[in-house]
Formats: sequence, structure tokens, C-alpha cells
Amino acid sequence: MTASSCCEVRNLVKAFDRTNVLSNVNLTMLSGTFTVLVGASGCGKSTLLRTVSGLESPTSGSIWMGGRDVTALPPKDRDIAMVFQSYALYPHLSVRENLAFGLRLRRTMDAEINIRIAEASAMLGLAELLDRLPRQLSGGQRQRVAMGRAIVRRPHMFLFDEPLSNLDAALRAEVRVDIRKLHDRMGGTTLYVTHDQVEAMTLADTLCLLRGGTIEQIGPPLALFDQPVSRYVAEFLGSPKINCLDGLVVHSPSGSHIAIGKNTLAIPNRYGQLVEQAVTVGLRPHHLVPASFDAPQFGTILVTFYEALGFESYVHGTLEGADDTTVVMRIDPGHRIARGESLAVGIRAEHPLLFDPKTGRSLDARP
Amino acid sequence: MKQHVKALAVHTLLVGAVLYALYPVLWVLTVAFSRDGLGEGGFVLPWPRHMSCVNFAIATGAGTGKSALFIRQLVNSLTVSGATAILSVAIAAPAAYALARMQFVGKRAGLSGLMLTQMFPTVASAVPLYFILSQLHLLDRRAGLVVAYSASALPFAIFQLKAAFEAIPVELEEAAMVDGATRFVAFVSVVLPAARPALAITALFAFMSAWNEFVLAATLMSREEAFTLPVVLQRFVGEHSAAWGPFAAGSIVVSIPVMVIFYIAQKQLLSGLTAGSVKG
Repeated sequence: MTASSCCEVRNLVKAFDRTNVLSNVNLTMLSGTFTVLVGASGCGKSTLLRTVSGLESPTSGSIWMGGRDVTALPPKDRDIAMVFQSYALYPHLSVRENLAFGLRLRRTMDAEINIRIAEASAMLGLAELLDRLPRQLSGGQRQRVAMGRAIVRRPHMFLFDEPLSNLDAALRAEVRVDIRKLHDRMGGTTLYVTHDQVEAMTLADTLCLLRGGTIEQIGPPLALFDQPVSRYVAEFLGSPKINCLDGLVVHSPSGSHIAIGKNTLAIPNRYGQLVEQAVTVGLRPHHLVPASFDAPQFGTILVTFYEALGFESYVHGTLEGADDTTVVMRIDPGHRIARGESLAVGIRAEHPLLFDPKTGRSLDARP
Repeated sequence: MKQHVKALAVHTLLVGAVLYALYPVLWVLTVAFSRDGLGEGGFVLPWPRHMSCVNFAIATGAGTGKSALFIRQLVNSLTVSGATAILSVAIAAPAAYALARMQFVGKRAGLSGLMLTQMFPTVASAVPLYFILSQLHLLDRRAGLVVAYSASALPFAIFQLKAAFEAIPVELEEAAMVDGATRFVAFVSVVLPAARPALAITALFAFMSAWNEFVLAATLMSREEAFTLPVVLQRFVGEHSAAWGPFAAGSIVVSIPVMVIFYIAQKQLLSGLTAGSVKG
């Protein structure tokens, strides 16, 4: 355990009824960092968060905070605050008393409680709401009170369990920014659970993608996006989803390349020497562009559908000469494209991601 | 127009139902306020021919110089019912919480056992209760009745509160525990306040069942000073004579405290306190 690590999860196993929900998870959160746990439903992300909070106890393994083993400690002794998906505001208490609840239990002086409530309500714009009951608040207001209740505690660690999933899309985008600003301002360590990849990408310093109770990949968000260790990670991050095409590595006198049906693709340098083998080629929608000098043509797609979002457009089509595989590409909104049109698409040589079609693991040769 | 017809039909039906329910009560009022009880009054629409409060004077002992005794008996009823309400809720709440939230060996069997006790009528346990309370020197004492009543009110109270606790989101307690509460503190400071309407209903139900109970009270209490009101009332209708007038007057007096309590408690009963604590 290093001096700057705030929380560490070691060899954590959690089983319910002999089914492992988490198997051997190791995770280190450095002080002041924002770690996001992301994954599909049932991947164990909420269980991991709840185990860190102490609301669940691990089957085996340990949780360390600030250099001490807290595995056996109840939540109240862990110096954490948590924001729940359902907000969990105390229904019989006013907003002010909701904020004060935790401080009173810790026998904080009234004067100090008032200072902290004033501070938090200024930060979150709660001043007007202090005397209301939770049932008199809108969804967004409740969410802010829930955050306020965490902030007044000034804990070493903030835990968020999908705090935005009950808000509408516009509010969600707004509060997402607020949460990150609050984190930077408070200087605490944050562990945040979400299934939303946009939240995950935008909030995280460290992104931890869980799959079936184990960490599939952990690292800075862009590292996961650009160098996914597996097809699963590549498909999970990014919207629209990455295009995955069946390809074949072919050696010929003029050099090696990847054949996707009748189309050919250069092998990016980072994959080193590949034997003649089947591969899965991952191409992100923004990697496919209208063919140009920079992005030599790699195939032709027949447009089946066109989505204009204003700031960008998506073209859905089938790749000719590759069993009509469906692909999605992103283009500038200036382009006008009609259904049924044929489009020459190019790709930059360094872009394709290659995966083993059987295991789904990346074939990237770099360490 | 159609709306009006529908509203009229509904209201006619409701008024009819209310009259149907109130008709016997009207008779009780008539008999209570008539000078010679059942002998008077119209046959279809009951109304006393000679309005009089003499029955009330007899029932409450004011007319016979026994009013001190009646007050004592009223206090008996109030304390026994009140104590029963408090004791049953105090015991049922923690039990119901454990059954609602925790997993333990014997939970299902315990619940079935509780259900089973509901199948026996109170009379079936009157004799054993008599012997038990006699051993405990609690016969003819209010505490004895409270113990017996609470025991019989508990299963229902536990089921009722268990359902109420299950309806409270578990996140509320988890939030409290993260905030610094032990499980017990979370129970007392978050769960109980959130369950206030259910606690009020449960207490009221226990109060009412104790207030109305006759068989055990008549069996376990032999001194007049220890009687509760149902036993007192029954004394007006004897084997050889039936003083229906004082009996009806007594019934009304007995009903008043319950009506007052319902009136006070109705706000609690109707409010949905958990609304707004979680999403939605």
C-alpha cells in the first residue's frame, strides 16, 4: 500500500448462494482520484461498491482504507459517504435535517453543522429548499440533496451508485458536470458506479470495466477506448458501437494484409507479425471516412439508413464484397447522403483494432 | 348530464349503505334516551317518545351513587387498552423488523407458528390463561389482562408491521448506516418514523381489541373494582331481567373514547409518509 492510495480492494471475492458475483478483484484508488466502475447489468459493479461501503461483506479478500484494513468495520466507521440511485432521503425529515442527520449522529457541534449546511447548500443551490420535505422536491432537487448529504460529511471517500439514472437526459448531462466539479473542489476520492458509458468516459480518471465479476480492463478512459484489451471492451465503449468484421490475415509477395471479403486492409504496425489466421477487425464509426488521399479506399458501402444529428451524421450501410456485413460510419453533417447511394469508404492505416475471433482478446503485440 | 345521473346513483347507493349500517345504532340511541328502554319508540324509524337521560345516570352510576366505581372501571378499560396498545407495538415492532429485514434459522417456521396461533379462538385459551395468571398472582389485576391481551394482539401486529417495514426502501437504512448509524439507530431514527401510519394503525387495532374484549375480562377479573367496561355492561343484562336502557346508554359511553381516538388519529392513518423519499 503506497502513501497516496486512499482505498484498496485486495483479492475480493463475493458470492451469493455459491455463485461468484465478484471473483478475485484487485483495485487501487489513489487519493483524490475519480474511479468509475462500469459494466453491463449483473457484472458486479454495484456489489463491488457496496462491499467497499461495508453494506456487503466480502466472502474473502479485504478492503483497505488509508492504510488500515476496514474489511470488518461497519459502514459508519469507514469515513465514507454514499449517494444512492434512489437518493434515499429520510422522508420524515426536512432537507436541513437530512443534511444534518449524519453530523448529529457524529455529535458535531450545532454551530459547525450550520456552517457545513450553509456551505453545501451554497454549492448545490439548496438554500431555498432547506425547510421542505423530500416529497415536496423534484427529482433533480432530491438528487442535489442526496449529494449535499454526502458533502456535509466531508468524508475521505465518496461513493456514488448510479446517481443520475433517475434524471432526464438534459439534467443528467448537467449534473454530470457538477459532480466532476464537486469532486475537484472537495478533493476527496470518488468511486462511482454507472452503466452509462458517456458518464464513465467523461467523469473518470480511472475507468474500471467489469465483466462477469472480474475486471476486464482498468486504466485511463481513453486508453480503454483506444487500446481495448478485448472486443468486449471495444464494443462496450463508444456509441454507435464499434464495427466488428470477420477478416483473414493473408501473406503475399507484396506484403501482408487483412482480407475482409474482397476488400483489403493494411495491418497496423502495432500488431507485429501475424500468422495467416482469422481475425476480428474492429473499426469505430469515426474511423471510416469517405475515401481520400489520407484514407485510401478500402471498400464501398451501400447506404441503407442515414441519421442526421445536426453536429454529426451516421451512415448505416452494408459493406460490398464482404457478405453484406452491416457497418456504421460517422460523417460530417455537411455531407448529403441518400438511401441506396454507394459510398467509397477509406480508413487510416493505424486505425483498425484486431481481436482473436475465438477468445475476443486483442492481438496488439505491444506490452 | 350523464355525469350527474351517475353521481346521483352513486350517492343514493352510499346513503343507503350508511343508513343500513346506522340503523341499529339509531335503535341503540333511541333505547338509551328513552325513559323506559325498549318499551317505547316508533317501529320503523326509531325515536324516543319521552326523551330522558336517566339511563345514562344509571349506567354511569350517577343515579345509584356508584359513580366512583364506574370511573374506576372506565380507567381500568383505558389503562388496560392503552397499555396493551403500547406493549404490543413495542414488542411487535422489533420482531416485525427482524422478520422483514433479516435472514435467520427458523424464520419461516416462526411465521407459520404465528399464523397458527391466529386460528384458535380466545376462549380456547381462557382456562390455561386463568391458571397461568393465577400462578403469577396477576388475577384480578390490570397487568394480567394487559399481558393476556398483548399476547393475543401480537401475531396480527407483527404481520401488519412486517408488511409496513417491507414497504420501506432498504436504502433508507443503508443511507443511515453510511451516515453513521448502527442498525438499531437506523431502525429507531429512520424506519420507525417512516412507518408511523402503520404503527398508529397497529396500536389502534390493539387498543380496540382490548377495549372490546369480554370473555377473558369476565374470566380473569372477579372483583367489581377490577372490571373493564364490557363486563360492566354485561351486568345490566342478567339472567332474570334485562335493563336495556342502561345497557344502551352504557354502550354509547363506551363508544365515545374510541370515536375520539379515531378522530385524533385519522391524520396519521391517512398520510403516506414514505412518499418522496426515493425516486418518483
